[in-house]
Amino acid sequence: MLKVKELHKSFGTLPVLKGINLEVEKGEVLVVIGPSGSGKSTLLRCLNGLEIPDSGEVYIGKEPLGGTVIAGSIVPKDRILNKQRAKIGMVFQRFNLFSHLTALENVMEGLITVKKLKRAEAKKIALKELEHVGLLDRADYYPAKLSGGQQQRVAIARSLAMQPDIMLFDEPTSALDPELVGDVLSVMKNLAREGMTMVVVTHEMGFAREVGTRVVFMDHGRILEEGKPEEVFYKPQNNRTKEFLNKILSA
Amino acid sequence: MDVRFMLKYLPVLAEGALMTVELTVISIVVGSLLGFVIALGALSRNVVLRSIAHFYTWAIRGTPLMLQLFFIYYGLPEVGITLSPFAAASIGMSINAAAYIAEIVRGAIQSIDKGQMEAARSIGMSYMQANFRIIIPQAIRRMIPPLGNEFIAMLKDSSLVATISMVDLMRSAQQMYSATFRPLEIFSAAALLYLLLTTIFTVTFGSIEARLAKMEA
Repeated sequence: MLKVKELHKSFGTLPVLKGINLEVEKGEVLVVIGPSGSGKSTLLRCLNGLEIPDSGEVYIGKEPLGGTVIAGSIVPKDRILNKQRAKIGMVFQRFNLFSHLTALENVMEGLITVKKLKRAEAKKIALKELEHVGLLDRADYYPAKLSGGQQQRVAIARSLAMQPDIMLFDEPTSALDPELVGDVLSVMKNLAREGMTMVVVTHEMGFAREVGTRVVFMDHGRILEEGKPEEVFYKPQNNRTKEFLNKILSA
Repeated sequence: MDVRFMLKYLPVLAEGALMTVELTVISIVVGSLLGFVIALGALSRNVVLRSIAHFYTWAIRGTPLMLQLFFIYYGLPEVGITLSPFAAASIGMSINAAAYIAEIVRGAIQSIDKGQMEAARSIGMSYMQANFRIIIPQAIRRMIPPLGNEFIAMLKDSSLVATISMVDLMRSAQQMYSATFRPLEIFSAAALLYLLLTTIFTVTFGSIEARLAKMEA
């Protein structure tokens, strides 16, 4: 479903990703953990072309992300990237709801501009997705009038409305007040139960253990450990992983 | 000061005021359109467009409006372009306003959080779609207060067209003063008319702002 080959990325002289290889199967919930600055957000942003890697390849299914293969090399094409992005849901740490649109309009926007659906049809789908995240009663609220947790659930609905094949979550609960984290996590757990393929960058270890089918530990731009949650959490092999888990789990 | 005399001359000045309004409205419309295009140029990823836009704002904001009016009205005939005072005044004011409006538009667009563009692109919108559906509508809300200021400044700066023999409010006042030697009454009357016009702007923009404020916190 998603394949990453030898991904390298630097910001200026600072290397952030130093050769990442990764594969995500359909229906998997891959949880990426690691200290801040380890490159996990950058990796996620490379998966939908928000960051362009310096070298390496990302494949969505059999297609390279953001281009076509012509004579063995990838030729970037904006239109292809746009089409692929519509199939890759992205949920941001800071929600990024369109602030001039209501919750309902936020969810409708991609259906109208990208999928070219009629307003009435888009509205029907959007209402269904808002119900899915438990916010049907907030449909006509502007983002500024919603709590962080509600905004994040609308953002998830906005992605789901596009019927993505995979959902990427970039620390979706890190900007939330503690009492609002649960609502967002339970929406994500439901999604996982429904079989959505997910890549989740998070510090929520409970979520990782409960829902994750596989956990990846990243540090300094490399994947240091990878395995089933119970393996990584209870029998970590790498010293850096042990250190990190000790710090996180004792806090 | 003779208030009755002043009131008597108000209607005569009103004709000049009408010309001031006409000029201001034309330069607001043309200047806004041109300013918007220049702002897009300044934000473009194309180096040539960006350089042209930067040169434009640099040259226009760096020279006085009066000089620009003189250049167009007295200078251009030298190269065979002779314009009526009205045309020269409209063109000069529009070109001048466009530079300032472009900076307002550019600033407003750049002030929109980067996450808005990223979210728009993430659901598959093209760069253009994201700009026109998401970024610009939000930026327009932020432009309203500085644009209100700019339009008021334009209305007052339009008094400079008197120097290229346009009979606007300022020029009518000068003419009547020469004819009557009642400066206090005449200029007070002209000031009242300017105040009336700027107040209309202030109130209009204030109500637009209030309406938009209801949407966003």
